[in-house]
Amino acid sequence: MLNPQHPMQLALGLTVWSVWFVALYGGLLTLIGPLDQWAHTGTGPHMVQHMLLMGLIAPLWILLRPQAQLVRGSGALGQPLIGGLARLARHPLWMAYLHGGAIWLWHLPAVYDLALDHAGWHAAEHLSFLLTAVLFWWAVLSTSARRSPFALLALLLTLMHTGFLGAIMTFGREPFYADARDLQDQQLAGLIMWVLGGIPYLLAAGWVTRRWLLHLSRRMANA
Amino acid sequence: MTETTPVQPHEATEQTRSLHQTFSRVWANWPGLGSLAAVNHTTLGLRFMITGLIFFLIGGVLAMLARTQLALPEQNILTADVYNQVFTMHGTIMMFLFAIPVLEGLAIYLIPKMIGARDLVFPRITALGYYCYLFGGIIILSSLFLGVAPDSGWFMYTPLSSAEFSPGPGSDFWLLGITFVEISAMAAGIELTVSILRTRAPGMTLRRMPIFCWYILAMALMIVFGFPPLILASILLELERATGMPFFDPGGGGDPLLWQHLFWLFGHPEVYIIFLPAAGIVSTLIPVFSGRPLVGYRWVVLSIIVTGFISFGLWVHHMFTVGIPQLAQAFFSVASMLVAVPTAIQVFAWLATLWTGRVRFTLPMLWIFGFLVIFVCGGLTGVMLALVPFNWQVHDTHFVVAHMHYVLVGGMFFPLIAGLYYWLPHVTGRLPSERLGKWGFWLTFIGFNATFLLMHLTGLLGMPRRVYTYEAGLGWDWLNLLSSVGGFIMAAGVAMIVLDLLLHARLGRRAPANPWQADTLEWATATPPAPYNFASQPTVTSRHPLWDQSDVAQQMAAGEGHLGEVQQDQRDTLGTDAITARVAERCHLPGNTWLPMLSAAALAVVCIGLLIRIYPLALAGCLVAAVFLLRWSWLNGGHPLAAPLTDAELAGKDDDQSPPLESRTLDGPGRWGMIITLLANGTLYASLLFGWFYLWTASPQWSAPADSPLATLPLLATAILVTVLTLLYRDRVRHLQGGEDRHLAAALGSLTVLGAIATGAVLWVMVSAPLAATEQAHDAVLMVMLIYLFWHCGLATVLTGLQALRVRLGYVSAHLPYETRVLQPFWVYTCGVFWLSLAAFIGLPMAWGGG
Amino acid sequence: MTRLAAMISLGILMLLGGCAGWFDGPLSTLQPAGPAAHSAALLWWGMFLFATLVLIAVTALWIIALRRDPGEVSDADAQRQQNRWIWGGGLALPLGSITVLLAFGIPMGHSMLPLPAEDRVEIEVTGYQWGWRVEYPEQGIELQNEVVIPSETAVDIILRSEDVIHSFWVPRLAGKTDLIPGHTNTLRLVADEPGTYHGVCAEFCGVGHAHMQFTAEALSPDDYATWLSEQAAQQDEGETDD
Repeated sequence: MLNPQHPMQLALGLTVWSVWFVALYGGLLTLIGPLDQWAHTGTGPHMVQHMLLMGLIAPLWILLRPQAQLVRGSGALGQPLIGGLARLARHPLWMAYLHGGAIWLWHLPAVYDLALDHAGWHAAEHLSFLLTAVLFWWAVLSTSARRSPFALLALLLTLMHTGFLGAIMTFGREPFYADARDLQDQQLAGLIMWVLGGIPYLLAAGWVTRRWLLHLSRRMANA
Repeated sequence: MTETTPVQPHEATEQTRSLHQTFSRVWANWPGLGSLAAVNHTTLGLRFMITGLIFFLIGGVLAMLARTQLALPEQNILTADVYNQVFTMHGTIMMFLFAIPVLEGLAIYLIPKMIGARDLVFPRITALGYYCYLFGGIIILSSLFLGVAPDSGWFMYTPLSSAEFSPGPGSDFWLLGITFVEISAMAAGIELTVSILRTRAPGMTLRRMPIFCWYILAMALMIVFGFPPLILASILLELERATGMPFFDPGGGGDPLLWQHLFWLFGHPEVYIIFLPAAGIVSTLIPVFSGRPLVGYRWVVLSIIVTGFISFGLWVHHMFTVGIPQLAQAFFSVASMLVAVPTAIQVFAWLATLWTGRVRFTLPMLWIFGFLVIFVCGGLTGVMLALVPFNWQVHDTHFVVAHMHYVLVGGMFFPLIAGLYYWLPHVTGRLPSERLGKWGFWLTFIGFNATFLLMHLTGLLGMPRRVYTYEAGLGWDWLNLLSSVGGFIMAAGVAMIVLDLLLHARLGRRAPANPWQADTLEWATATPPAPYNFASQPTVTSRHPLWDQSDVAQQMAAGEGHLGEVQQDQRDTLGTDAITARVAERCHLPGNTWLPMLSAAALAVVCIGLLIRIYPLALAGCLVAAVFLLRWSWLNGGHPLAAPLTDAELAGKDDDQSPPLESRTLDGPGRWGMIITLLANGTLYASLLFGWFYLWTASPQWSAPADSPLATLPLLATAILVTVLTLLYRDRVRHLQGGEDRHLAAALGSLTVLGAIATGAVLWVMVSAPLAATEQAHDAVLMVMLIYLFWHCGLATVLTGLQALRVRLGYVSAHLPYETRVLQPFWVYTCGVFWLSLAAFIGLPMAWGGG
Repeated sequence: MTRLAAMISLGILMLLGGCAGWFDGPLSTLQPAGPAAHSAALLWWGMFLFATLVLIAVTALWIIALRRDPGEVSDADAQRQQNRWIWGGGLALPLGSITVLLAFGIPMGHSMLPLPAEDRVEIEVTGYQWGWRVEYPEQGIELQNEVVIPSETAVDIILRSEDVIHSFWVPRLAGKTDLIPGHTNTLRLVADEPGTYHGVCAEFCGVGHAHMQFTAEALSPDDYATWLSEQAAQQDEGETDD
């Protein structure tokens, strides 16, 4: 995989490999295994699982740029599908609306509890989270530098509405969901979504801004 | 100001003299009383600052009254009732009528000069802002003289401030008056944002922008996002007081804590809105007096942005004792401490700059030293207050009063005076007195510390805030006496400063050009500055133009830069790209006009009408204001009075000599202004959403009916209609971009009719819905939502109708497509708000299962 | 040198002051008489010391920087210095201090919470403009502007308001908690020894706010039990008399 001829290349290669490792295995472990079992013990742990999925695994995956390999490996069926997704991912704000819609939908108590009771719906929930998150991060992180303002707006919007939802969970009078051990458990979940969950969006905003400014100074130097 | 012959940065020749005369003629204010119609930023900036300083003195007198009452125990110089009015007005005046306006005024005065522009980008809005501030301030102040000043504290906690416990007009003066004054803050916020982003001199990329402009940009954006929660809260509380809609009354399903959340969502960013411009002054002065550029420019920019962001997430630290979940307290405690980090970065950047420079210790630097000591002390006590168990002891005691004054006086007043002394030679062309200045500093510094240093101890010894008197023998006696004496010493210091300001206009020495050898462009104007700032605009190639581009001042004054001549007798400045600062368009700016003052006067009538509860008067005021405001919007850049289409333009020939006029383009500052305004509007709406969700999930006695009382289908139909309308409008604009304007008037006319139908539908739903808005908070919020939709749909319709008319008159066409691009975001916003309202206020409650 | 001497003398004065009772007072948070107040006072002195050191250090650095002539400073030098100042002072110092502060503060805060405890006593307090109604529902006792508690016992004060927001605060025993109409809050009070402690309303509530005081009388657990039964007996007598 790596033919390092230079220490920097080796370091870079190791970094990429670690990211790949975390993204792939972390993703698997989040969904099955001990982390998944822990997620069933309450709203707080459940929130941690979802945040890992949408806020860590999805963006890492996008950073690895698997699209080219997927296209090559998926044949006649996959190519138009991935091409279609790629077209969608050119619009950061629409992907933010989609992602936001999925988040709010699955946090309606009736729908949330449905997913708790039926493994099929729970799988659908995780799939929709993962898919919309991947599309969102694809649009935000891989967008052309020219569309950076839209990516930043998409990040701001997502930061705000997830913080909002987290705040509602934090200040609620009673638990909304069946898996809440007590009110404190829900408050913890809300704070995780609100405060910790804001970190990936803030970091991404910094990253997008930096990339944008570099692009602009390169363009000015060439002009 | 006395007549001082301006010091020019250039050698005057016959040519340049006539050039400057032409500019002066086009840019001058009208003489005599006509100067009240001025829209020039230099004039208005100074007016903001002088008015602000007058309010400061009034607020200071109120403070002296309070300190006199508290000097000895168990006094009755002021009764409890009067004392409550005094401290409420002291806080209100200082925070809303002094701190923000004076810094706004400084920014309005300085920003165009620093970015190499001739004026701010919406001059009439600057004037509107000033008059709203002046009239609103007078209205609030009048309550004091009428003996009915607000008396529930400057943060007006409910239920104390609501109709049941404050039945007099005091709270109404606050709610209506402050909202009126806030128009001025919003105007400044929007205008400064767009001006800094779109009218910088060519070549002044964001990285070459003076650091002061970064601070003001952050302040302006924080105003845009930070004030709307308070505006909404004030509207809701005033509605509660006037009509009984129980937003904050637990009996009706409301919650007093909702007021606190909305207030502090504004309140915490507010203190950074006050601190950042002052820190900007410090960041500007230190490099000049160290003779070297600011160390860590990029770090400081990052700190400014991070401070702006984080400050919106800290508001809960004002509410640690209300019963917030303990986990939330821990999180907010940590976050509140972390905001010290970007501030520390700035302090150490300043230290590093001083360390690596050769410092000239002038009078401004003396004030900056005072700032450092006092502000760092205040910041340290702030970190202490962020620790919850300690906060539980000292919250609402004089410890907080001490902390607050340390950060506000140290962090804002001292830098302000430093900036005053620094820029005074620029404003008047004369230097103030060193001796008076030093006396002023030491009296103020010593007096301030005498008043407030040991006040920390007073708080630790248990003295609560806002008490009009106290018993003897609690250990507070000598401390209060000391604070009161200190107050008088500080007052003497302030008097020295005022004296110095007044005297220097007569007796001060003439200042040479650029007396401090500064690096930023404002020192390239004449001192005092001409109303047009520069005879031509520069091309900037460095972050320190006056240090690195040695001839730039002379070149500009000789007319050798951009826009070096008056075209068509118009005032103008260049519009440039936000990031690369390449020339994009020529912005034609309006001249003197009475419309802003008249509009503000009409709004003042509305305010007074609502205050005295004579609603026909308020309605009349609204109509008159509407006439003035619509007339104002009518006379914009596309109007033939302003810039008639030339023959060349009509023939379709490209004029590639000079940059296009803004009204001929598709993306000028006006569109940006609309978008920034919509961001503020959106924040207001988001606050309403927050209130809705908060009450629904956290209000103690919330009750919601099983089915929504609103007719869902008609609202859905209306939303679809508005969506269709928006799409059709967008389509029209796209045609216009392609140069096609046939049938434009008719198309806009039909869209107006559709809009009227939609507006009518919302009105019908509003009137026919069985909402018990004065009994249930649930219904009250729905009513506010409907009013919001009605207002936006209606306004968009009216503006579209007017636009159709303007097409007929030839003010809008394929040659002048710009206005449609400005109105388009407004329709998109209205459409978005319709769907969001349907989802959040009707759909979600149904899906949630009835709450 | 004189500045340093002044600082040291001030520090000694303060220590002496503490011993001499300069910080004492019926409402003083620095004369604690309960574990919560003790923690808060301890936190205060620790933070105060550190804050004073930081203030002196920053001021001293500033003064030195003002006086100093660094000669010619190359851009590379300035860059290195910048990093040292900003990383050391702007990042490491605040982050380090905050971590230490929280390491002490969060556990202390946690210990002040009204967590479940053995032998907990519950007393109901309702605030109104401008006084305090104190009720012992089990025994049917009602007091005005005075609350009687057992010392060395966890007492939970249940706080409600009849009209506007008030705040219940006995500085020598514990922090304050607000009384908010529509809400019920709980404050944990523990007194180390029997005595009379004073309390005030700590949230502005109108013209009578400055006079809304109360006393908290702590009796030893035995005396408290006696007092309770005496009061209860009086209530019974009162009832049979009617």
